[in-house]
Amino acid sequence: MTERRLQEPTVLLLTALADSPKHGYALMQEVAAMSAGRVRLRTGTLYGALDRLLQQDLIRIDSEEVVEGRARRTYALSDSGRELLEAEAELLQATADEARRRLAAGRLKAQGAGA
Amino acid sequence: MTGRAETTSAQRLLGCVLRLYPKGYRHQQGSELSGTYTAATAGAGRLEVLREAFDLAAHGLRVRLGLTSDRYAGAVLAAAVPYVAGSIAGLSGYMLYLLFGSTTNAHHEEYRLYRSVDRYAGGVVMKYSPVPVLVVAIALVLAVLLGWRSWTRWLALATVVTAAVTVLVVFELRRGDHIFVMTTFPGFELPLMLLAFALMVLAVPTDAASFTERRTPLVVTALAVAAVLHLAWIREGFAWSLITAMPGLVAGVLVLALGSAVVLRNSILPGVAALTCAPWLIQPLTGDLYDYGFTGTQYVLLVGLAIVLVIAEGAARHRRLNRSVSR
Repeated sequence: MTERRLQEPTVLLLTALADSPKHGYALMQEVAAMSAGRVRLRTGTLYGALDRLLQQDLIRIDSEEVVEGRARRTYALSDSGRELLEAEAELLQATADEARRRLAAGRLKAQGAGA
Repeated sequence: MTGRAETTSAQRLLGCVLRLYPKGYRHQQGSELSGTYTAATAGAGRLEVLREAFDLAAHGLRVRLGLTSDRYAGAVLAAAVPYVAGSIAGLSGYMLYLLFGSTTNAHHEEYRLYRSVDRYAGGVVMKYSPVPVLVVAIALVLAVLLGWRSWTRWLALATVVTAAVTVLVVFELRRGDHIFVMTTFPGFELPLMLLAFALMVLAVPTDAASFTERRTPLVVTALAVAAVLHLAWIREGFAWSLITAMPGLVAGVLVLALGSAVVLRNSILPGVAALTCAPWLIQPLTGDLYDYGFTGTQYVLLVGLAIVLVIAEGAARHRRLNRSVSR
Protein backbone atom coordinates (compact mmCIF):
# COMPACT_ATOMS: atom_id res chain seq x y z
CA MET A 1 0.00 0.00 0.00
CA THR A 2 2.42 2.65 1.14
CA GLU A 3 6.16 2.47 0.64
CA ARG A 4 6.91 5.16 3.20
CA ARG A 5 9.23 3.87 5.90
CA LEU A 6 8.73 5.11 9.43
CA GLN A 7 11.27 5.98 12.07
CA GLU A 8 11.71 3.33 14.75
CA PRO A 9 10.31 5.52 17.59
CA THR A 10 7.23 6.24 15.45
CA VAL A 11 6.69 2.53 14.73
CA LEU A 12 7.07 1.77 18.44
CA LEU A 13 4.61 4.51 19.42
CA LEU A 14 2.01 3.32 16.91
CA THR A 15 2.59 -0.30 17.99
CA ALA A 16 2.13 0.66 21.64
CA LEU A 17 -1.29 2.08 20.72
CA ALA A 18 -2.32 -0.83 18.49
CA ASP A 19 -4.07 -2.88 21.19
CA SER A 20 -5.53 -0.17 23.41
CA PRO A 21 -5.51 3.61 24.04
CA LYS A 22 -2.79 4.83 26.39
CA HIS A 23 -1.69 8.00 28.19
CA GLY A 24 1.72 9.68 27.86
CA TYR A 25 3.63 7.96 30.67
CA ALA A 26 2.25 4.52 29.73
CA LEU A 27 3.47 5.13 26.17
CA MET A 28 6.96 5.98 27.46
CA GLN A 29 7.07 2.72 29.42
CA GLU A 30 5.67 0.61 26.58
CA VAL A 31 8.18 1.99 24.06
CA ALA A 32 11.07 1.34 26.46
CA ALA A 33 9.82 -2.20 27.18
CA MET A 34 9.21 -3.13 23.50
CA SER A 35 12.66 -1.91 22.50
CA ALA A 36 14.32 -3.57 25.51
CA GLY A 37 15.38 -0.12 26.78
CA ARG A 38 17.07 0.86 23.49
CA VAL A 39 14.57 3.62 22.68
CA ARG A 40 13.85 5.92 25.59
CA LEU A 41 11.45 8.75 24.82
CA ARG A 42 11.77 11.76 27.12
CA THR A 43 8.76 13.90 27.95
CA GLY A 44 9.51 16.70 25.45
CA THR A 45 10.36 14.29 22.63
CA LEU A 46 7.26 12.19 23.35
CA TYR A 47 4.87 15.14 23.19
CA GLY A 48 6.63 16.49 20.08
CA ALA A 49 6.03 13.12 18.39
CA LEU A 50 2.43 12.91 19.65
CA ASP A 51 1.68 16.42 18.29
CA ARG A 52 3.08 15.40 14.90
CA LEU A 53 1.14 12.11 14.81
CA LEU A 54 -2.05 14.00 15.77
CA GLN A 55 -1.41 16.53 13.01
CA GLN A 56 -0.79 13.71 10.50
CA ASP A 57 -4.06 12.14 11.64
CA LEU A 58 -2.30 8.87 12.56
CA ILE A 59 -3.52 8.99 16.17
CA ARG A 60 -6.48 10.66 17.90
CA ILE A 61 -7.33 11.76 21.42
CA ASP A 62 -9.44 9.00 22.93
CA SER A 63 -10.37 10.60 26.24
CA GLU A 64 -9.45 13.36 28.66
CA GLU A 65 -9.75 12.88 32.39
CA VAL A 66 -8.42 14.37 35.62
CA VAL A 67 -6.25 12.04 37.71
CA GLU A 68 -4.85 13.24 41.06
CA GLY A 69 -5.63 16.84 40.13
CA ARG A 70 -3.84 16.62 36.77
CA ALA A 71 -5.34 16.47 33.32
CA ARG A 72 -4.56 13.28 31.48
CA ARG A 73 -5.24 12.49 27.84
CA THR A 74 -5.31 9.02 26.40
CA TYR A 75 -4.31 8.57 22.78
CA ALA A 76 -5.60 5.94 20.36
CA LEU A 77 -4.63 4.78 16.89
CA SER A 78 -6.77 6.34 14.13
CA ASP A 79 -7.96 4.37 11.09
CA SER A 80 -5.19 5.80 8.89
CA GLY A 81 -2.63 5.11 11.65
CA ARG A 82 -3.81 1.49 11.81
CA GLU A 83 -3.52 1.17 8.02
CA LEU A 84 -0.03 2.66 8.04
CA LEU A 85 1.11 0.41 10.88
CA GLU A 86 -0.27 -2.65 9.10
CA ALA A 87 1.60 -1.68 5.92
CA GLU A 88 4.80 -1.10 7.91
CA ALA A 89 4.39 -4.46 9.71
CA GLU A 90 3.96 -6.23 6.35
CA LEU A 91 7.08 -4.53 5.02
CA LEU A 92 9.09 -5.52 8.11
CA GLN A 93 7.70 -9.06 7.93
CA ALA A 94 8.67 -9.36 4.25
CA THR A 95 12.22 -8.18 5.00
CA ALA A 96 12.50 -10.58 7.95
CA ASP A 97 11.18 -13.50 5.84
CA GLU A 98 13.68 -12.71 3.09
CA ALA A 99 16.52 -12.49 5.60
CA ARG A 100 15.58 -15.91 7.07
CA ARG A 101 15.27 -17.47 3.59
CA ARG A 102 18.70 -16.22 2.52
CA LEU A 103 20.32 -17.21 5.82
CA ALA A 104 18.92 -20.75 5.42
CA ALA A 105 20.14 -20.89 1.80
CA GLY A 106 23.58 -19.73 2.92
CA ARG A 107 23.70 -22.41 5.62
CA LEU A 108 22.72 -25.11 3.09
CA LYS A 109 25.42 -23.92 0.69
CA ALA A 110 28.02 -23.96 3.47
CA GLN A 111 26.96 -27.50 4.46
CA GLY A 112 27.15 -28.60 0.80
CA ALA A 113 30.64 -27.16 0.43
CA GLY A 114 31.73 -28.79 3.70
CA ALA A 115 30.43 -32.28 2.71
CA MET B 1 13.52 15.80 54.62
CA THR B 2 16.08 15.64 51.79
CA GLY B 3 13.56 13.81 49.63
CA ARG B 4 10.99 16.56 50.16
CA ALA B 5 13.58 19.25 49.38
CA GLU B 6 14.50 17.45 46.16
CA THR B 7 10.84 17.13 45.20
CA THR B 8 10.33 20.86 45.82
CA SER B 9 13.34 21.83 43.73
CA ALA B 10 12.24 19.44 40.94
CA GLN B 11 8.78 21.03 41.00
CA ARG B 12 10.35 24.51 40.92
CA LEU B 13 12.47 23.45 37.95
CA LEU B 14 9.37 22.06 36.23
CA GLY B 15 7.54 25.35 36.86
CA CYS B 16 10.39 27.31 35.21
CA VAL B 17 10.54 24.94 32.25
CA LEU B 18 6.79 25.09 31.66
CA ARG B 19 7.03 28.88 31.38
CA LEU B 20 8.99 28.36 28.16
CA TYR B 21 5.81 27.08 26.48
CA PRO B 22 3.41 29.58 24.90
CA LYS B 23 0.50 30.44 27.20
CA GLY B 24 -2.13 28.69 25.05
CA TYR B 25 -0.16 25.43 24.82
CA ARG B 26 0.64 25.57 28.54
CA HIS B 27 -3.01 26.09 29.37
CA GLN B 28 -4.05 23.17 27.19
CA GLN B 29 -1.20 20.70 27.85
CA GLY B 30 0.72 21.99 30.89
CA SER B 31 -1.07 19.84 33.45
CA GLU B 32 -0.57 16.69 31.38
CA LEU B 33 3.07 17.52 30.64
CA SER B 34 3.81 18.03 34.32
CA GLY B 35 2.03 14.77 35.20
CA THR B 36 4.10 12.78 32.69
CA TYR B 37 7.31 14.58 33.70
CA THR B 38 6.66 13.89 37.39
CA ALA B 39 5.96 10.21 36.71
CA ALA B 40 9.03 9.89 34.47
CA THR B 41 11.37 11.48 37.01
CA ALA B 42 10.00 9.77 40.13
CA GLY B 43 12.93 8.11 41.88
CA ALA B 44 15.38 9.22 39.19
CA GLY B 45 18.82 10.65 39.94
CA ARG B 46 19.65 14.34 39.70
CA LEU B 47 21.31 13.97 36.28
CA GLU B 48 18.34 12.10 34.88
CA VAL B 49 15.96 14.78 36.21
CA LEU B 50 18.10 17.48 34.56
CA ARG B 51 18.18 15.65 31.21
CA GLU B 52 14.41 15.24 31.33
CA ALA B 53 14.01 18.94 32.16
CA PHE B 54 16.42 19.92 29.37
CA ASP B 55 14.42 17.86 26.86
CA LEU B 56 11.16 19.44 28.04
CA ALA B 57 12.70 22.93 27.89
CA ALA B 58 13.91 22.31 24.32
CA HIS B 59 10.41 21.18 23.35
CA GLY B 60 8.91 24.27 24.99
CA LEU B 61 11.24 26.55 23.04
CA ARG B 62 10.50 24.71 19.79
CA VAL B 63 6.74 25.04 20.36
CA ARG B 64 7.18 28.75 21.12
CA LEU B 65 9.32 29.30 18.00
CA GLY B 66 7.16 27.10 15.74
CA LEU B 67 9.99 24.63 15.18
CA THR B 68 8.27 21.37 16.13
CA SER B 69 8.23 18.47 13.66
CA ASP B 70 4.52 19.00 12.86
CA ARG B 71 5.28 22.52 11.55
CA TYR B 72 6.81 23.52 8.21
CA ALA B 73 9.91 25.07 9.80
CA GLY B 74 10.60 21.88 11.79
CA ALA B 75 10.27 19.70 8.69
CA VAL B 76 12.53 22.06 6.70
CA LEU B 77 15.17 22.12 9.46
CA ALA B 78 15.30 18.32 9.58
CA ALA B 79 15.54 18.06 5.79
CA ALA B 80 18.23 20.75 5.68
CA VAL B 81 20.68 18.95 8.00
CA PRO B 82 22.76 17.26 5.22
CA TYR B 83 23.05 20.56 3.31
CA VAL B 84 23.83 22.57 6.44
CA ALA B 85 26.43 20.01 7.53
CA GLY B 86 27.84 20.01 3.98
CA SER B 87 28.18 23.80 4.11
CA ILE B 88 29.94 23.55 7.48
CA ALA B 89 32.27 20.85 6.12
CA GLY B 90 33.18 22.79 2.97
CA LEU B 91 33.67 26.05 4.84
CA SER B 92 35.59 24.66 7.81
CA GLY B 93 37.66 22.20 5.81
CA TYR B 94 38.73 24.79 3.27
CA MET B 95 39.53 27.37 5.94
CA LEU B 96 41.62 24.83 7.88
CA TYR B 97 43.43 24.04 4.63
CA LEU B 98 44.13 27.74 4.12
CA LEU B 99 45.38 28.12 7.68
CA PHE B 100 47.65 25.08 7.78
CA GLY B 101 48.00 23.57 4.33
CA SER B 102 48.64 26.46 2.01
CA THR B 103 52.08 28.01 2.30
CA THR B 104 52.86 29.12 -1.23
CA ASN B 105 50.39 31.83 -2.13
CA ALA B 106 51.68 35.30 -1.39
CA HIS B 107 48.17 36.75 -1.34
CA HIS B 108 47.30 34.51 1.51
CA GLU B 109 49.17 36.32 4.27
CA GLU B 110 45.89 37.23 5.99
CA TYR B 111 45.27 33.62 7.01
CA ARG B 112 48.72 32.25 7.64
CA LEU B 113 49.62 31.29 11.18
CA TYR B 114 52.68 33.28 12.09
CA ARG B 115 55.36 31.53 14.10
CA SER B 116 56.53 34.74 15.68
CA VAL B 117 54.40 36.42 18.31
CA ASP B 118 52.82 39.67 17.19
CA ARG B 119 53.77 42.95 18.72
CA TYR B 120 50.46 43.39 20.48
CA ALA B 121 49.32 41.15 23.30
CA GLY B 122 46.29 39.70 21.56
CA GLY B 123 48.18 38.81 18.38
CA VAL B 124 48.46 35.08 18.96
CA VAL B 125 44.84 34.82 20.03
CA MET B 126 43.78 36.74 16.93
CA LYS B 127 45.76 34.52 14.57
CA TYR B 128 44.54 31.28 16.12
CA SER B 129 41.02 32.40 17.00
CA PRO B 130 39.13 30.58 14.20
CA VAL B 131 40.89 27.23 14.84
CA PRO B 132 38.89 25.92 17.87
CA VAL B 133 35.51 26.62 16.29
CA LEU B 134 36.65 25.09 12.98
CA VAL B 135 37.77 21.91 14.78
CA VAL B 136 34.52 21.60 16.75
CA ALA B 137 32.53 22.25 13.56
CA ILE B 138 34.40 19.47 11.72
CA ALA B 139 33.63 17.12 14.63
CA LEU B 140 29.96 18.09 14.27
CA VAL B 141 30.05 17.15 10.57
CA LEU B 142 31.61 13.77 11.44
CA ALA B 143 28.85 13.13 13.98
CA VAL B 144 26.22 13.85 11.30
CA LEU B 145 28.03 11.58 8.81
CA LEU B 146 28.19 8.74 11.35
CA GLY B 147 24.55 9.25 12.34
CA TRP B 148 25.30 9.91 16.02
CA ARG B 149 22.21 11.96 16.81
CA SER B 150 23.01 12.66 20.44
CA TRP B 151 26.60 13.65 19.64
CA THR B 152 25.34 15.81 16.78
CA ARG B 153 23.21 17.80 19.22
CA TRP B 154 25.98 18.23 21.80
CA LEU B 155 28.56 19.18 19.17
CA ALA B 156 26.14 21.67 17.62
CA LEU B 157 25.80 23.24 21.08
CA ALA B 158 29.60 23.22 21.46
CA THR B 159 29.98 24.91 18.05
CA VAL B 160 27.48 27.62 19.03
CA VAL B 161 29.29 28.30 22.32
CA THR B 162 32.81 28.21 20.81
CA ALA B 163 31.75 30.47 17.93
CA ALA B 164 30.10 32.97 20.27
CA VAL B 165 33.17 33.08 22.54
CA THR B 166 35.47 33.54 19.50
CA VAL B 167 33.41 36.43 18.14
CA LEU B 168 33.30 38.13 21.56
CA VAL B 169 37.05 37.69 22.12
CA VAL B 170 37.96 39.04 18.67
CA PHE B 171 35.51 41.91 19.06
CA GLU B 172 37.02 42.79 22.44
CA LEU B 173 40.63 42.54 21.19
CA ARG B 174 39.95 44.70 18.15
CA ARG B 175 37.69 47.18 19.92
CA GLY B 176 38.08 50.55 18.28
CA ASP B 177 39.19 49.12 14.93
CA HIS B 178 37.35 50.18 11.84
CA ILE B 179 34.54 47.86 10.82
CA PHE B 180 36.51 46.98 7.67
CA VAL B 181 39.40 45.56 9.71
CA MET B 182 36.96 43.62 11.83
CA THR B 183 34.96 42.11 8.98
CA THR B 184 37.93 41.02 6.89
CA PHE B 185 39.25 38.91 9.74
CA PRO B 186 38.09 35.27 9.63
CA GLY B 187 37.90 35.09 13.44
CA PHE B 188 34.90 37.39 13.29
CA GLU B 189 32.68 36.41 10.36
CA LEU B 190 33.63 32.76 10.00
CA PRO B 191 32.47 31.94 13.57
CA LEU B 192 29.33 34.03 12.99
CA MET B 193 28.45 31.89 9.97
CA LEU B 194 29.28 28.65 11.78
CA LEU B 195 27.17 29.83 14.72
CA ALA B 196 24.19 30.32 12.38
CA PHE B 197 24.67 26.88 10.79
CA ALA B 198 25.12 25.15 14.17
CA LEU B 199 21.98 26.84 15.54
CA MET B 200 20.05 25.29 12.65
CA VAL B 201 21.31 21.80 13.57
CA LEU B 202 20.51 22.45 17.24
CA ALA B 203 16.96 23.53 16.37
CA VAL B 204 16.11 20.29 14.52
CA PRO B 205 13.15 18.64 16.35
CA THR B 206 14.26 15.65 18.45
CA ASP B 207 11.63 13.39 16.88
CA ALA B 208 12.40 14.48 13.31
CA ALA B 209 13.04 12.04 10.50
CA SER B 210 16.52 10.58 10.33
CA PHE B 211 19.23 12.41 8.42
CA THR B 212 21.75 9.60 8.69
CA GLU B 213 20.92 7.93 5.39
CA ARG B 214 21.55 11.06 3.34
CA ARG B 215 25.31 11.33 3.00
CA THR B 216 25.45 12.13 -0.74
CA PRO B 217 23.90 15.65 -0.42
CA LEU B 218 26.30 16.37 2.45
CA VAL B 219 29.39 15.40 0.44
CA VAL B 220 28.17 17.17 -2.74
CA THR B 221 27.39 20.39 -0.80
CA ALA B 222 30.79 20.27 0.93
CA LEU B 223 32.59 19.89 -2.41
CA ALA B 224 30.52 22.69 -4.00
CA VAL B 225 31.26 25.06 -1.11
CA ALA B 226 34.99 24.26 -1.17
CA ALA B 227 35.01 24.77 -4.96
CA VAL B 228 33.32 28.19 -4.67
CA LEU B 229 35.80 29.28 -1.99
CA HIS B 230 38.71 28.03 -4.08
CA LEU B 231 37.42 29.87 -7.17
CA ALA B 232 37.15 33.06 -5.10
CA TRP B 233 40.74 32.57 -3.98
CA ILE B 234 41.97 32.05 -7.54
CA ARG B 235 39.99 35.05 -8.80
CA GLU B 236 40.60 37.51 -5.97
CA GLY B 237 43.51 35.98 -4.08
CA PHE B 238 41.35 36.07 -0.99
CA ALA B 239 39.02 33.13 -0.34
CA TRP B 240 36.98 35.04 2.14
CA SER B 241 36.23 37.82 -0.27
CA LEU B 242 32.91 36.68 -1.69
CA ILE B 243 31.30 40.02 -1.06
CA THR B 244 30.30 40.61 -4.65
CA ALA B 245 29.78 37.03 -5.77
CA MET B 246 27.81 35.54 -2.89
CA PRO B 247 24.44 37.36 -3.18
CA GLY B 248 24.32 36.44 -6.87
CA LEU B 249 25.17 32.80 -6.09
CA VAL B 250 22.53 32.67 -3.36
CA ALA B 251 19.94 34.19 -5.71
CA GLY B 252 20.86 31.57 -8.35
CA VAL B 253 20.45 28.70 -5.85
CA LEU B 254 17.06 30.10 -4.76
CA VAL B 255 15.78 30.34 -8.35
CA LEU B 256 16.98 26.77 -9.05
CA ALA B 257 15.31 25.49 -5.85
CA LEU B 258 12.02 27.24 -6.64
CA GLY B 259 12.06 25.86 -10.21
CA SER B 260 12.74 22.31 -8.99
CA ALA B 261 10.05 22.64 -6.31
CA VAL B 262 7.43 23.61 -8.90
CA VAL B 263 8.41 20.72 -11.19
CA LEU B 264 8.59 18.17 -8.35
CA ARG B 265 5.57 19.57 -6.43
CA ASN B 266 7.80 19.75 -3.38
CA SER B 267 7.20 22.30 -0.63
CA ILE B 268 10.23 21.45 1.51
CA LEU B 269 12.95 21.97 -1.12
CA PRO B 270 12.73 25.80 -1.44
CA GLY B 271 12.73 26.15 2.34
CA VAL B 272 15.81 23.93 2.64
CA ALA B 273 17.66 25.94 -0.04
CA ALA B 274 16.67 29.28 1.49
CA LEU B 275 17.65 28.23 5.00
CA THR B 276 21.01 26.81 3.92
CA CYS B 277 21.79 29.94 1.88
CA ALA B 278 20.96 32.46 4.63
CA PRO B 279 24.25 32.33 6.62
CA TRP B 280 26.22 32.96 3.41
CA LEU B 281 24.87 36.51 3.39
CA ILE B 282 26.53 37.35 6.73
CA GLN B 283 29.92 38.06 5.19
CA PRO B 284 28.73 40.17 2.25
CA LEU B 285 26.31 42.06 4.50
CA THR B 286 28.84 43.04 7.16
CA GLY B 287 31.76 43.41 4.75
CA ASP B 288 29.66 45.53 2.46
CA LEU B 289 29.19 48.33 4.98
CA TYR B 290 32.58 49.81 4.28
CA ASP B 291 33.73 48.47 0.97
CA TYR B 292 30.78 48.57 -1.36
CA GLY B 293 28.54 51.32 -0.14
CA PHE B 294 24.82 51.44 0.44
CA THR B 295 23.83 50.08 -2.98
CA GLY B 296 25.62 46.78 -2.30
CA THR B 297 23.97 46.50 1.12
CA GLN B 298 20.59 46.98 -0.52
CA TYR B 299 21.44 44.15 -2.93
CA VAL B 300 22.23 41.80 -0.03
CA LEU B 301 19.09 42.85 1.82
CA LEU B 302 17.02 42.19 -1.29
CA VAL B 303 18.40 38.65 -1.50
CA GLY B 304 17.68 38.30 2.23
CA LEU B 305 14.08 39.38 1.59
CA ALA B 306 13.90 36.81 -1.23
CA ILE B 307 14.96 34.13 1.29
CA VAL B 308 12.14 35.13 3.64
CA LEU B 309 9.59 35.15 0.79
CA VAL B 310 10.75 31.73 -0.46
CA ILE B 311 10.33 30.27 3.05
CA ALA B 312 6.89 31.89 3.41
CA GLU B 313 5.83 30.57 -0.02
CA GLY B 314 7.10 27.09 0.92
CA ALA B 315 5.08 27.19 4.16
CA ALA B 316 1.91 28.22 2.29
CA ARG B 317 2.47 25.49 -0.33
CA HIS B 318 3.07 22.96 2.49
CA ARG B 319 -0.25 23.90 4.11
CA ARG B 320 -2.07 23.60 0.77
CA LEU B 321 -0.53 20.18 0.04
CA ASN B 322 -1.34 18.93 3.54
CA ARG B 323 -4.92 20.14 3.21
CA SER B 324 -5.37 18.37 -0.12
CA VAL B 325 -3.84 15.15 1.32
CA SER B 326 -6.12 15.21 4.37
CA ARG B 327 -9.13 15.63 2.08
